[in-house]
Amino acid sequence: MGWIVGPFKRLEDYREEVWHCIRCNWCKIGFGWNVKSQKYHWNCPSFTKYRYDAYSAQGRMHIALALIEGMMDWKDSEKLLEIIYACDTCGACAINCMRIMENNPVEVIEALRARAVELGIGPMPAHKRFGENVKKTHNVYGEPHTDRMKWIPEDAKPSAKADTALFLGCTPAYRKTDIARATARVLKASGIEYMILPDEWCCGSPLIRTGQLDLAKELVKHNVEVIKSLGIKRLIFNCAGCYRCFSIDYPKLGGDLDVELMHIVELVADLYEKGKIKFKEVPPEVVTYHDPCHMGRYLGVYDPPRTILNAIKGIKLIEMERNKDQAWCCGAGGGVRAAFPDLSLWTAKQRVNEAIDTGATTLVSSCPFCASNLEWAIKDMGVNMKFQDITQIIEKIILRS
Amino acid sequence: MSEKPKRVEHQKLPREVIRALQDVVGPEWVSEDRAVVEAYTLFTIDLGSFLRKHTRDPSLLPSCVVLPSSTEEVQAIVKIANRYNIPFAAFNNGQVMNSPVYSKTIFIHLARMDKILDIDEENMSMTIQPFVDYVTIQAEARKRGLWNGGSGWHSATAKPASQFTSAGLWQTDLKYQGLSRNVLGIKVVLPTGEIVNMGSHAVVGTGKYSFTERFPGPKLMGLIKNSFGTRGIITEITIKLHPWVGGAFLPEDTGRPSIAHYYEEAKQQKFDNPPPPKRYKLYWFEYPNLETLVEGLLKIARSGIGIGLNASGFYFAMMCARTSMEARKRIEQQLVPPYVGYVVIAGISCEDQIKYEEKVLKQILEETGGRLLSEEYKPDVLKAVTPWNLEFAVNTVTGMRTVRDWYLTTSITPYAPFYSAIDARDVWAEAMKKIGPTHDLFSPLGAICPYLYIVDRGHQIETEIDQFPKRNDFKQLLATLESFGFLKSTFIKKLYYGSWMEVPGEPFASSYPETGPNMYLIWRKYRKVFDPKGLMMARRAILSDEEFKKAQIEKPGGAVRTFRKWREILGLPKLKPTPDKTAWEYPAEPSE
Repeated sequence: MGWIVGPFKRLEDYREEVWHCIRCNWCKIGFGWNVKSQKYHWNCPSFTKYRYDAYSAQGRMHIALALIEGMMDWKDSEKLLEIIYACDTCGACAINCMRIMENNPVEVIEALRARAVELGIGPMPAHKRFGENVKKTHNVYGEPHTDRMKWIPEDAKPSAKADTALFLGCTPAYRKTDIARATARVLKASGIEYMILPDEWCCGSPLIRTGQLDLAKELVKHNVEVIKSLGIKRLIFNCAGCYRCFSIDYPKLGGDLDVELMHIVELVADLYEKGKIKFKEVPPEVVTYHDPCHMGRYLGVYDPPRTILNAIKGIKLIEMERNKDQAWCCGAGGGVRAAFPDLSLWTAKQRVNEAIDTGATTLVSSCPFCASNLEWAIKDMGVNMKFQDITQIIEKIILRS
Repeated sequence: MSEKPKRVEHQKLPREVIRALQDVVGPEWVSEDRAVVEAYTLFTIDLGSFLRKHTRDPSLLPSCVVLPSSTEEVQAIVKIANRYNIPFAAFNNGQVMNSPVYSKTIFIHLARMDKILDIDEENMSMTIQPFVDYVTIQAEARKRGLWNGGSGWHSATAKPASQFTSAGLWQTDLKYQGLSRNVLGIKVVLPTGEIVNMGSHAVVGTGKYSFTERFPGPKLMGLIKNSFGTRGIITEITIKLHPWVGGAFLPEDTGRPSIAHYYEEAKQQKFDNPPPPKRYKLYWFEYPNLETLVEGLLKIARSGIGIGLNASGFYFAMMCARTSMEARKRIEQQLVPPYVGYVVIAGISCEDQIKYEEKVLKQILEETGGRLLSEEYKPDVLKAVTPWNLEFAVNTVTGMRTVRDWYLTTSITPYAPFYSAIDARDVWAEAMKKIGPTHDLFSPLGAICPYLYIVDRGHQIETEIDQFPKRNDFKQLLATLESFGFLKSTFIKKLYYGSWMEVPGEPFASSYPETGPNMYLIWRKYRKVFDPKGLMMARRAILSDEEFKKAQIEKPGGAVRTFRKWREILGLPKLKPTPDKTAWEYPAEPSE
């Protein structure tokens, strides 16, 4: 997997990294070669909105330095908790920082959060509810666990047992069931025999991102046991957050799985490239694609969704200025949507505006959490823009070769 | 039981001051929160701030941070500071020497002043607010077939408004001569709160039509240039634009990295391979040694070809590497030869211009013993330096990327083009012998070939030698100070001006009265006129009578003692204070 794998480090373990930050400021703006306009040159939602350096990766690194060295105490600042939690952990700072200084500020921010939780200061009240809900119902929304599979469509029922499993995630199961159904139909139409975990729990991502590692470990342990006991060989995701969590975070929390992990777009693109599926033509439509941070910037899945969209006759894909590793976050991640709805909505609106500026009428993505936030922004703005998860496009046009 | 580390507290300002500031900008844009001010204590090239951080100096923490959105708000903040006699400092990204010295300081962060105010295509100029960076200037100008001619050191860090008050090095100094020759006008809030328009802005209403730096205003801009934020806050700056023929957008890189797979992708060289913009071509060449390299560079520069001409293979190898391991490997394997340079040739008028200039280049190389790198000769080197295909235009990766271990001080010896490059190498070699390297592999490289910027068609070569201390290592930081003292004293002894970066800063300026001579006293006079209360960047760049007495005579700090030691060792004249201890007697007594 790469360097990022290894146990979660404690805050003090980042001493060298935090001293290493010399405010080069690439954590605040897009990587120079990729910037195409002033309007869309920012990369950090938090800094762009609040403008104090403390709300940038650089500021958070320097605050971490002061805490690590004991120059500052957690109780010295009224704003500290807000500063470390008003961040989507989208990684836009990290990808630039790695390229320039080989630092990953998001790891430091998450270590700050974990320490805040250890000290009983964090997380934010909204994040505590994640934990409480997960304990009771195994999902962050507090919905009945028995309803987790309620969405399954009659026309695309999973098998009782298969080598391939669809890991659903809380948001598709309870909030974006249309995406869950579309995913099931795409799998069915692709001829993939798949199952759904009979006792799937939250992947743990919302807890990990907000510093609640102990609770997350329980979820990881449970899911890993279930997957191993079923002898599953391949896990498919339609949630970018779950996919990243399994790929990067599970090994850090002892959740080693000898299982192939892939997002539904990777599977579909692969089948298409191998000639196993094809797509029906659609009426002319201009679309633009939003790279979910978890899947794009974190895992490097940039090409498969583009392969699919470019393969569909009738669809014209126009890129937003900030794309792939430089994509602007939807604003939903890192616990921001729950704890800082203003920042979250503002961030999503920025993205919708960027999509509108391409001339596209449909904004496509491949993450149910991005879907929720971008749809919220579109509705709030009252603009002529449609959001579609990529599976919702595919489900209508996929054909087996 | 280990002792609990000492917490560092910041001094707060009286409530009425905070309220007055809040009335100007709104309560949300003033913060005295401990965590918020902590983010404003370490600055990019500021050895002092890192040393003081280690010693837990509380004065490193500003009392509060204020974020104005307009010239008028900046003015009002400055007037409040004057009314209550509170030191203040303004900054953008905090590139150079921004840390406060007095415990009670108002920090004016210009982060909300980020608008491009005007792009005048006909007169080829752009007027911007201070927080507009080079990246966005270039992006917007390119769409109009223009650019500003180059980007400051690390285009995210350097912004024209702040760079004008400190320095200005571009990869394209050969033709465009850096920022200092490319500013047409500025709007400045003086330390006393008056607003002054300078350059083309001098006559109200002409700001939009900034056609020349010569007229119509009095040439006051020189007082702000290199003033290190001591004589005013630039709230608007108009810069020249030049023709750009490379297209509206820069070419796409071949790939993009990801966080989880970064090192694998770096190993596969998946990213950082951008092609050059159309009608711009980089020609790389090598020479057998530094002497022939410099001779060749000067001939190329003076021939009139190219828009950018720079040299030093080592630095390119480091900056173009995707990881520090790759950089290290390149150096160890000597992948990029030490005496390598490049010239950027632009087909500004037509494609044939490139052909013609290429012919001239080849002839000069033949005459001076240089050799062009090509697909046949050292193609692996050409591949290794591909980031430079765009780097000359936007300056994305230079500087900090060098070795990922930061570079702290740069010593530049302008003038006497040929000998300054040779001398810089030799002086650095001497420093390595006397003090030792601050980085095992990279520091000694300057002793082979420093980084050479060819400026103004060869009138000048700016020579840069960098140090790479680990910032969390106090001993390495002290060693850096030592070598800095050695370099500075040696350059003064050799009658070089020394680094542009240190000259206006204290305690350098008053430790070396040879500069000017007595430039520190001239600045002190300026300060009395511009900033009679001595509030702006107090004690950072200019010392008052009292501050001099304390810093140089009565209670000299570590830096002053280091400089004095090296003055003595190297036999520079011994400094003798005036009877009132507010200055040095000059000329100083010759050393025995």
